[in-house]
Amino acid sequence: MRDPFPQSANGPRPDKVTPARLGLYAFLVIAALFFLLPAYVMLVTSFKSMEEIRSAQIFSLPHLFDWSAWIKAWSSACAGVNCTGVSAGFWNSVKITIPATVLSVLLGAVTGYALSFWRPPGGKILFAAITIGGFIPLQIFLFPMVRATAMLGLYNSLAGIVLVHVVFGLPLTTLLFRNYYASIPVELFKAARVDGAGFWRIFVSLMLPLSLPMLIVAGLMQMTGIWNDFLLGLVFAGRDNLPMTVQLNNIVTTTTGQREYNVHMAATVLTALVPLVAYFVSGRWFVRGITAGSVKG
Amino acid sequence: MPVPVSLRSVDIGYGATAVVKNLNLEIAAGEFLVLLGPSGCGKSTLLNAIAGLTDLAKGEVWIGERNVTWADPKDRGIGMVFQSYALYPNMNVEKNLSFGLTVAGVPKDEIVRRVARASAILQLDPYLKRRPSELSGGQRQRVAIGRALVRDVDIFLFDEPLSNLDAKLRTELRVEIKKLHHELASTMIYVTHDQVEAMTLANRIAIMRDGVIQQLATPREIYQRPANLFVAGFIGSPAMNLLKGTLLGSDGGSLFRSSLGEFDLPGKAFPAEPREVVAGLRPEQIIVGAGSGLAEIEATISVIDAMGPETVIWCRARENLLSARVAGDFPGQVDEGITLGLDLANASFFDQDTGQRLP
Amino acid sequence: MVDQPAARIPASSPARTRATGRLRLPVAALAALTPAWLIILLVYLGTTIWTVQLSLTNSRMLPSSEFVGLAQYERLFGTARWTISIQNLLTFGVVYVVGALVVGFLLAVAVDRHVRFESMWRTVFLYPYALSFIVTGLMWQWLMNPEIGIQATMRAAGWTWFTFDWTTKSSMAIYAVALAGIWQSAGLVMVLMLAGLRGIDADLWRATRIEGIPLWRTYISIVLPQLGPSIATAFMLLTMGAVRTFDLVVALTNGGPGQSTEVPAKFIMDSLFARQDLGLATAGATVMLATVMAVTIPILYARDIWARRRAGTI
Repeated sequence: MRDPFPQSANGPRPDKVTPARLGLYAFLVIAALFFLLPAYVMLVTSFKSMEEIRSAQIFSLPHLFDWSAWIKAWSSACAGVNCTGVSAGFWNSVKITIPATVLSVLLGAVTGYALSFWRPPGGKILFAAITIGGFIPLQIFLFPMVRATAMLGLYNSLAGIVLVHVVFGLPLTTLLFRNYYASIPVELFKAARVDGAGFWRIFVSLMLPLSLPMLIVAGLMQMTGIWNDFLLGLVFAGRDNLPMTVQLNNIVTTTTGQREYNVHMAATVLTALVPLVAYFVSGRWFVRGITAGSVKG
Repeated sequence: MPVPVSLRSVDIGYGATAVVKNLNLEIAAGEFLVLLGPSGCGKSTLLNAIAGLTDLAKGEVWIGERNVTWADPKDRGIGMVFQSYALYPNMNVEKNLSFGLTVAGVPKDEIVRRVARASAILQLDPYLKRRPSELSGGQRQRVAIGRALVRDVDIFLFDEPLSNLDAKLRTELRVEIKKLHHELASTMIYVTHDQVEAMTLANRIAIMRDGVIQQLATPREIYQRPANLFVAGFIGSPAMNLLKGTLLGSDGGSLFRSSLGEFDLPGKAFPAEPREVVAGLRPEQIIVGAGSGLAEIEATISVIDAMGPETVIWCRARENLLSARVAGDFPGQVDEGITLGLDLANASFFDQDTGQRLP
Repeated sequence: MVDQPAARIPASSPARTRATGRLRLPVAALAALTPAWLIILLVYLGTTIWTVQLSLTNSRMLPSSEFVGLAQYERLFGTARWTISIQNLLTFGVVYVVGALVVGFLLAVAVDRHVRFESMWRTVFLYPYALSFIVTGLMWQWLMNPEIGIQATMRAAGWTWFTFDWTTKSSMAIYAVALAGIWQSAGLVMVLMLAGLRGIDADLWRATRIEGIPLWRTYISIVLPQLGPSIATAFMLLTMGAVRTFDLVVALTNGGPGQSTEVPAKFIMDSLFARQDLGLATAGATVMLATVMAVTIPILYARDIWARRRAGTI
């Protein structure tokens, strides 16, 4: 322990590398390795040949960067007898995710806006029901929803899976927007009312532009959520519209011939790519979505 | 035993972001020193540096005989009271007071004794078992003071402790802090932006602006002889009346020439060459009514602010708006013509270019 | 000395102005809420009732309307695979929730210690949360594959004693699922805890330094108690995630080896689609619903009280 009161002390305290500080960085580095290694292994393995994979050096870089596994994963890997790669699933996921995200965000925005500013009768009950609804396990809904969509002729169709996503996205999006609108001064709304603006005019001209940040956040959360969905796509999308996650799992579990790990890993990376890019590009928005979405009520 | 504090050639922050530059300050043992200034003037940063919560870029901090520049906050013999109280929200008052001592390994009976003493001084006995969330703002701040008190420190640091309280509580607690200083005779350093707190509490006030001490003096001196235009404008309510003009000095007495006329300043010696100056007159240095024997001017009342015991009237004289302090039962009316006597003999004069006080 | 209570209620809180200033409600406002009402009443409420009702009938392949009381539940809890699924879920849930809470809290504390490249660390710890459970499950399946994964690599490198084959051992497989789950969710906990840590008054930290309270003691005695709401939120989200766990198991172990990683959500799905046993599936789903509500409603309620206490309205 050095003297805390040296006579000549002047200026900033000399930096000293304490064991605590070293430990802190050691912890961070070890944690980072734990989180990064699986992704690293996947990436390098997808570039290796099967021979090299069997030599069991998962951490080494490939001797030769080989794109063939990626090409096969994208365009010709087989799920059962269906050899289209994950590309079909990719386009299906795009066709599901875009309309479902747009519709559920808009529905959440309108519902949140009507609930926070107009205080309609039964609004509190509706909001409480929506909040609790967000916690109900999907398994409860499956059989009746299958019957209902079948009755409407929407079962196993693109429109059906989009509708299902919008329905089950309602709690999160409503919550995000209601809480966001609760932070906007109610005087602003009153001023617009005094100026004679009506329900839709206030929404379109005032609230929607004001909620741009939340539109981004909610859009991001819904987009990654819907892209990453497995269960609903499996049940409701139908053979022709299977999303990427389902198709990936089908490819990986297809057991004809030898397992092509490099192709499987390339397919997995491809499936993870869209949400990952969204995550890395959006940065803080993603974090904001998590915190905003978790502060319920 | 009260101890002195000394800041020697202190810099805080580097380069363009420097908050405090080459500051020297000697605080006497047992003194109540107030650091006063607008927000962003560096007063809180300076206090944090004394506490050891902010590193210096250069310079030394001495507390008593010890150079504490590199010492941990806990080793400096200081207690600190924060604006947000900073009480431990999950502990009751008693635990808030004793927690630091328990951690430091002070014997149990000693802890009990010190908590009892602090509680008695600050009248906290009824609240010992309550949590901070169950206390009023004033009670919370008393607990925060108690937490500094139990540590038996030489120096108390206050960082805007009353700013979160309403006006009535602020006055009450101000009196209590003053009493506490009287009883303990400890050195206290107190940061505020409130001039009333500064004037009432301080032995000496250091007025800061942009990291530089503008004036370090007793409250009376600062009020009566502000060192520059900034201090003159910052202290006093309503603010000092400022009149631009020219000062012509001579040995026997000087002459002040302004848009309101030319006035003799008998007995005031200034250098002979003409100088562009600003004359500063406190509102009580402007007397209403003719025959005061002072330099008289004609003016029109434009606003009357009745405040109870006294009234402030705002009078227009050419392009100037002058405030004068008059009795509470002042009978005048708005738009009435009025004669004002200016007590220029006791006025302050500042150089128009530098803003500095002329002796 | 007479003090007023510190937490005064503002004379006109927005809530109050809103509540008293109810406006004439245009038809548009009611119309705008119609989709939400329809979804809540028809889908959320309607299907829940339908499912619960089905669980009380003797439905098998096809829905039946013959009421049989709790017979399906008796059958359900008499099914070994269901009780095993519940036991697995308990093991998985405890390890996963506690593990993710502890790891996430430590990550948040570490990131909060004014480290260099803070946002880089945060990005690294959170990215798994952006991945789907299918991707997560497949990644870990390969890492723990004894033939090509970490074990094979270590043994090839000469550490022949090294073993990491949890997914192939029925005693360890459920921990493999938990490990993958923690890997995916720890970042979420970190984000929630960080939000809580950043909400702690900066003066409080300074006060502890003045008092010389050691850092570990500050975290345990002062910081942790204040993170209650953050911990409750994280706990709730993780518990929900655990109960719903389906994709992760499908991708990582598909329930095996044997039945060692079967979970209720998967049991319900298999009963519904593979075995087409509606009675068991709906009874299982109802049990799942009851469990989730038993966990979330008290926490939601407690958080509501916390929030109102903090706002000073209680």
